[in-house]
Amino acid sequence: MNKQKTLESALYKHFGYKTFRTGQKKIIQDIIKGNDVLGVLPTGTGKSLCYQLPAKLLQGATIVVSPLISLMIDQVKQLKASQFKQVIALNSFMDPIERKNVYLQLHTYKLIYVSPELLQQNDLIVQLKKIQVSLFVIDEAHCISQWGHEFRPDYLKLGEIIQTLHNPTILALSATANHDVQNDIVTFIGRPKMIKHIYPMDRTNITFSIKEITNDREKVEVLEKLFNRYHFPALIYFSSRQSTETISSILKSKLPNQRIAFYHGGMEQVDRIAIQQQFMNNQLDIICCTSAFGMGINKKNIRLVVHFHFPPQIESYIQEIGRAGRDGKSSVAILLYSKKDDFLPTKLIKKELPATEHLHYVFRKLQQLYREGEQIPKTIEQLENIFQLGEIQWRFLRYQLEKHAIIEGNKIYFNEDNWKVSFKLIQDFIDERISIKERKLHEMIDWINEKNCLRKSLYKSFQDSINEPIYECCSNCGFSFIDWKPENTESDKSFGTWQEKLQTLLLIGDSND
Amino acid sequence: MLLEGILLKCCYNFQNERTPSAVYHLLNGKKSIQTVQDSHIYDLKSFYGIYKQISKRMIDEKLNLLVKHHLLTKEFIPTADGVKWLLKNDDLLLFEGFNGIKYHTIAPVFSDRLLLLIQTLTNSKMQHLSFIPIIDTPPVLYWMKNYYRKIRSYETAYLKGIYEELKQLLGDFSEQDANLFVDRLSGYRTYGKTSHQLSESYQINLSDVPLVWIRMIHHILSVVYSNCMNYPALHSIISDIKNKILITHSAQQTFNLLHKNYSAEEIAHIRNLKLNTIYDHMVEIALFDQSFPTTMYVSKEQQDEIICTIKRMKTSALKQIKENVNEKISYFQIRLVLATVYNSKQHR
Repeated sequence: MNKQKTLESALYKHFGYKTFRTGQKKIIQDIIKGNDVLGVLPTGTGKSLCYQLPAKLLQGATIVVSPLISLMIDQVKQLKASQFKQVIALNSFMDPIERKNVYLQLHTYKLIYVSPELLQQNDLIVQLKKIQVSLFVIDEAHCISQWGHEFRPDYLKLGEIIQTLHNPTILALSATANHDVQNDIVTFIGRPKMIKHIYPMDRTNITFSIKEITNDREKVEVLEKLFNRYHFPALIYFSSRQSTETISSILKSKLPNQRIAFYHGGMEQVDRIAIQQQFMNNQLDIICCTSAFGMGINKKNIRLVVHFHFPPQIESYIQEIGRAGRDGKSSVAILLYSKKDDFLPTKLIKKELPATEHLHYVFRKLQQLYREGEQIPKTIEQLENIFQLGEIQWRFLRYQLEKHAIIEGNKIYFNEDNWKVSFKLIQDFIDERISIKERKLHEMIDWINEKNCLRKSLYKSFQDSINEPIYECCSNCGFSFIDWKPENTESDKSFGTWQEKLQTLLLIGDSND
Repeated sequence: MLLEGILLKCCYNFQNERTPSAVYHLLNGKKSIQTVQDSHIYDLKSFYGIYKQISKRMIDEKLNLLVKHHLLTKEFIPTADGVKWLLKNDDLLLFEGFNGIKYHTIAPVFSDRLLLLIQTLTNSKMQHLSFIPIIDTPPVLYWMKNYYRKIRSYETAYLKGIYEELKQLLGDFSEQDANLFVDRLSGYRTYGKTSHQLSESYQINLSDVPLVWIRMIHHILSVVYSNCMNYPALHSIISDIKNKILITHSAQQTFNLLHKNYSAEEIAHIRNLKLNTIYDHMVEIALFDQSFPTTMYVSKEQQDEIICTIKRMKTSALKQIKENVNEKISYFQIRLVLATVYNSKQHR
């Protein structure tokens, strides 16, 4: 009893919240006791607090492995803003001198975010071994499983690293892990006593809607109609960076009363933060974005999530619509579907992995480098140049090449027989990955074409039963926008002369305005 | 349009004696004596280092576009239409607002500090300390931390000061520019607009936004510096920094030794540098220091000969000048004359 009280007061002291949200407390209690935990919590329920609070309370450091560098940096910024200062994000984009300095100061941090690639580097491991690691967090743990939607081979090496770091307590977290993936995670980590905390991910205040449409022009017309009726925070998801820009500019001209911006991973970091913060501060109504938007964003009153293009798997869809209605009020997720869209993700899937001809090319180049007595270049630009591969493709291939003892670090080891066999194995592996991804894609398309209840179908592989929706269920169960009347938000328009704007900005809080 | 105008102007002044790379180095503010000297010789000082984010590719793209629109020839010389365009748009381009050679180092520091200061003070005044800083480069954050400690006891008064001073200064700009300036600022629960958003709101090219901003910053700096008693709030943001005139640290050291009456050869020996490097420094110093004793290194007669040749050949290209003067005259002497005597005479 007393201990529980301490946990709550610690929560208030360090993060300013009075109560825990579903699941957080139980997970944290287990961690503090030293139990290994698998936590599957739906997006937007405060997964990161499950390790941020223990990081404050435990002796020594907490390491968080997280696959997305931009997300890592955002999180660190937010933590620092909320007065959690002993936190650092280590990634391969850091300036080498800065990184060296940070390595020497590692013991001063309570929370260390690190990318899986960087954890492969020996100089970091050496430094980490010198400090006390009390908690090792694997964020987005579904990346371990090849049945997960974002398989990251780098994650497979985490097992060794955990051992090297003297077996700290482990917390594996995911927002989207179905039964297969959960089992994979537990098997991989090899701690059979791991405690599972699995929470249902169905969202009872979100209504689902699918609208079939023939082309993009009609999609824009639907958006126009919707946003002429409603005025509230909304997200529109696209499959490409380019389309976020073009459609947002079309919408801006058609909807002068809505404040619209686009957001994608190709933007400068300053601009990305600015758009996020403007949206948080109600300076923007609609964001046209790619899947890069939303992670780590905690805006409570998003009323509508539109999918202009559908994502390549159910997991991403659940994650993206999960950003709606975190305040528990009635919210809608609508997907605009045109049969032509089916091709888009197929193309993207193929682009993520090197094709057979390309694999041949890489092997030839490797052989050439070997003959010339060269090593594998170190920078991503050089790699792109030599092998004609993008960063994601190279990361994938490097792991395969290392696994088959073709390369080690930057050295190339030539053995004709081994290379022949390995080529075939890698090729098979690629084919297998593609077929898994295509199966996931078909699951998504099947769901879109579902004739029965969309809600039941969406969550069926994640949980055995679903809760009754609070508001309307879905378009297959009779939902129509005519009956949907959420409260509209007023936008505080800051028009006026620049003198007035300057005054409002700088003399804020003065009594005379 | 502003960037296009600047490129046209650069091409016009360079008159095919410099490549597009020279334009890039100029706008980018490359710390090489060649670039600084170019900016003097071709009267492009005001553009030095005004666009540090620009890429070579962007310049090439814009130049090719100007060629396509027949404002530049294929050799990157302004056509008659190009010259006309420059004259016609003179009022809009406001080149006179730039003073790159003077403010290229201080302007970005001032701009970053001002943006972060306003965001910090307005948030702190509302007791809201968990905001994400819009500028997060370590030196600026470090400055902010220390500066905040000094001023927080009178933050309300200080904010009022910034308000009064900015209100006064922004009055010098067009309504549009003043609006753009204010929209870029972040404060309490307000995040400044991104370059892209500003370009859309004010219907200007995305590539012009940083230029419009830096042009305003240069103007503000010139008023604040020449009148620091009237702008105490803004002046104190940068009162800890000397507005460095000599561009490289190494040149500064040579400068100090010259002041102790060491010769170029002696300095080369002391500093263990090549004599030509010291000559580079001296040209660099001569560009900024109007009291530089050029006649100590180039006689009056030699100076006249060089100047006559420049005028006769209508060129500032070193090689051509060298081939047409007495062979005893060195490259160093020509460069020195180009940097000082010729330059100031031309302007008078």
